[in-house]
Amino acid sequence: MWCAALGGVVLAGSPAAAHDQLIASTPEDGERLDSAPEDITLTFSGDVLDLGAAVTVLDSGSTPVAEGEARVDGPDVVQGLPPDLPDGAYTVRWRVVSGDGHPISGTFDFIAGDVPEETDGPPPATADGGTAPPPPSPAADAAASSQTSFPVRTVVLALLGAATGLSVYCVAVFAARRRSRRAPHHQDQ
Amino acid sequence: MSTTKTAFAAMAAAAAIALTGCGGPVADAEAPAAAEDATGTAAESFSAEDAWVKAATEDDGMTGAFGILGNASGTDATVVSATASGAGMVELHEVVTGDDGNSVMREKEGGFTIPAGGTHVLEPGADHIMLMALEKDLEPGTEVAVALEFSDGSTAEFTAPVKAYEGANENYDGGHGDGHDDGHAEH
Amino acid sequence: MDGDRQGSAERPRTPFSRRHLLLGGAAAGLGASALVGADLLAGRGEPPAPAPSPAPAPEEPDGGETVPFHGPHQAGVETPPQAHANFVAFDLAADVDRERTRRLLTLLTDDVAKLSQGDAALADSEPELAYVPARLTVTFGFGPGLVERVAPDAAPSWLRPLPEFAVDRLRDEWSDGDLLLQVCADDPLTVAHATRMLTKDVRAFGAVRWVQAGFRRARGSEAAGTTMRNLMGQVDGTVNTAPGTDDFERIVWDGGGNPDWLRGGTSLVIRRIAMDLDKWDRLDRSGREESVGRRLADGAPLTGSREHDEPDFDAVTPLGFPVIAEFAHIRRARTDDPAERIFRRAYNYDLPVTGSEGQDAGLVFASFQADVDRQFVPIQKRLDELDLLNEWISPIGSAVFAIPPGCEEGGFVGETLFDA
Repeated sequence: MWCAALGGVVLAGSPAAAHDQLIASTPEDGERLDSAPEDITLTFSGDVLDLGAAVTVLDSGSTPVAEGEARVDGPDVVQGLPPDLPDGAYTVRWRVVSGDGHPISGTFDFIAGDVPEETDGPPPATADGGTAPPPPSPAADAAASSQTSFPVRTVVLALLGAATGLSVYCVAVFAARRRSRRAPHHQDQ
Repeated sequence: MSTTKTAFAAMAAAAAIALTGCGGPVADAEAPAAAEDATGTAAESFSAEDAWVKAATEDDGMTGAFGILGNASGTDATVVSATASGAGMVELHEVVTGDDGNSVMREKEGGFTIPAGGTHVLEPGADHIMLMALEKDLEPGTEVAVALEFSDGSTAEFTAPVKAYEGANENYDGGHGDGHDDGHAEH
Repeated sequence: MDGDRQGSAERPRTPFSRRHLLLGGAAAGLGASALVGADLLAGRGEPPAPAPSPAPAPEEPDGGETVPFHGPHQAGVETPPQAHANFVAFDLAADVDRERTRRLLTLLTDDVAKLSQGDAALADSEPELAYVPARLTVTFGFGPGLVERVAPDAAPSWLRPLPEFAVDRLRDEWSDGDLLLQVCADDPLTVAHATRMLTKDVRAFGAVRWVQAGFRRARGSEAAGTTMRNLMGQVDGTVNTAPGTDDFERIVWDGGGNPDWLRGGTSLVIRRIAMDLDKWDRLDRSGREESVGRRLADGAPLTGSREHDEPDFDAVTPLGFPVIAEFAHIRRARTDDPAERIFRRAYNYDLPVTGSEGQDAGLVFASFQADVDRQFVPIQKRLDELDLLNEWISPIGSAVFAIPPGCEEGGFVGETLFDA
């Protein structure tokens, strides 16, 4: 039983491996271009589903300059941009459905033209035209973080944490069992 | 939703009674079934419940009618003969174990006795009304009108739906044979 | 009964060890989360909902329970779904005309009237099997072929195969039929016996076209009224109208546009939905939840915390995408049009396979609605156009039946069609 629980933790630590991943984009993350491109192309590690692919491009004021459904062509997802986009820093937010059916999403930035690099980070993630704040949603969090790679350090930490949690739980259960042996019924379950 | 207690009571009691229908009568006796009156005829106290006839073709030539015969009177009633629509000849039969140990059916001497205030069950493998010299196919879902004559001379009629049934293939101890099977089907 | 008592005495043991597993996982998850600051196990780490305490052992076995057969509506629609079902469709023989159809329906009605009350049918070869009705209901459905034989001009406009959908992979052997018997009971032996008796009745009039056996949780396994789960593990059917409500009356029984003979009746759509469970196995938990828009643990929408919370379709992720995506099943199934509602009464199926084949499993999706075209078809169209769940499911059978009203004692199911 403990092995099964522990195994679950290890598996949970590496779901991203099963999904397609963003392996390249044009422009690349952090790339400085002479001027705004005609479109954004994302390339994934496998063919993504031609279903629900969405790419939003925000300017530095968090105003969408392009959004909505993007064109899927095998592993490539393309979102067109309006012509004559002004120079500036842009953020790309994307969500596609991986070939295994798992929605994945992520974000990256690029700069068009000769503008000073004000900050390292992208515009505030809560932007979205200033509408609804993000709700607490484990699934959404998982999706948002599914692009995050899991370095060895993370896995080791997870395993250490799991071991600690299990130990605490073991002790608690052991104590509870001793108590419950004196109390014959478990009706409260 | 209600709990069917009758069904469970019946299950316990039904070792030998294969047709323990608890529903209302499918077929009505011609006479009302009220008479406690000793002066009434046997037919007046008669009822038939859950009656049915095994489907057969004219080529088959013969088949059986079954059901629960009831007698609400205070005296035994005896069925001595029967007629049925679509059958040129009708006999009252019983199934017995023959000399060779096999079960055979034969005409029941003295007819069927329905005890006072009780029932007499007609079922495959036991007493039944034998329909012979069929004049037409008896198709499932059609009805056969059966008339019984009692020892007091009174008669009662009921209708019985025809149902497909694979059993009731007892050998006939009269050389007629069953015509379409090798049946020694005593269950 | 002895078995019952034994069952309840043993009952705490199994959930208890499962609880350990879950709680152990939760403890591990909490530890992991604390160190890496991740929240991957949220939702799974919650302790399981407390199991309802076992009801006191009934004095009589559940198998004695009956559902009334006679009445204005047929049984088996409003009846809380029994644990087991056989959906049996028949083709009527070419020579079965109006009169023979009447005979067939009379025979079947008489058998069902008896069997459903725990009595043997006439000519019942195994009467003892009939004495455990276990809430047996048998619901009659008429396909176009039957109505055509009895009253050709009385067919409702929707009584025909559904329009073709792009996701369909329909197979003849699971589709259509002239006559349907939906046989449901809490006991599989009861279902088998009733099915056999009724099938024998039909033999002289036609042949079995298909049988779709289905099951839900065994009676008593969980609290009555718990939304069923399908074999993909999903809570299936959260948004369903409840019998006895005005809503239900309108959705199921109010056939304003239907022919008079169907007053008190409705329609039934049966879709055999195959599930690619091996492919589904390759999808992780959060992916599974996003495909539907509900959490697996409790069926709560991704934007809520309890099963019956109203989904918030406007909620967005930190990246600004909808939490319940455009392609999520519950968003696609949903409509603002109150006319486009149905009443689902589905069963799981899981057929034995041999060798290294995958699994032949899925859902016998059964849905009642007063008007197929007005209520069912628009929903299916939306799901056909876009529904991530279509990656794992495909309809392989489809049939539409008119469900005639019930009958009173002495009558037979479908008699109103003969007066039409």
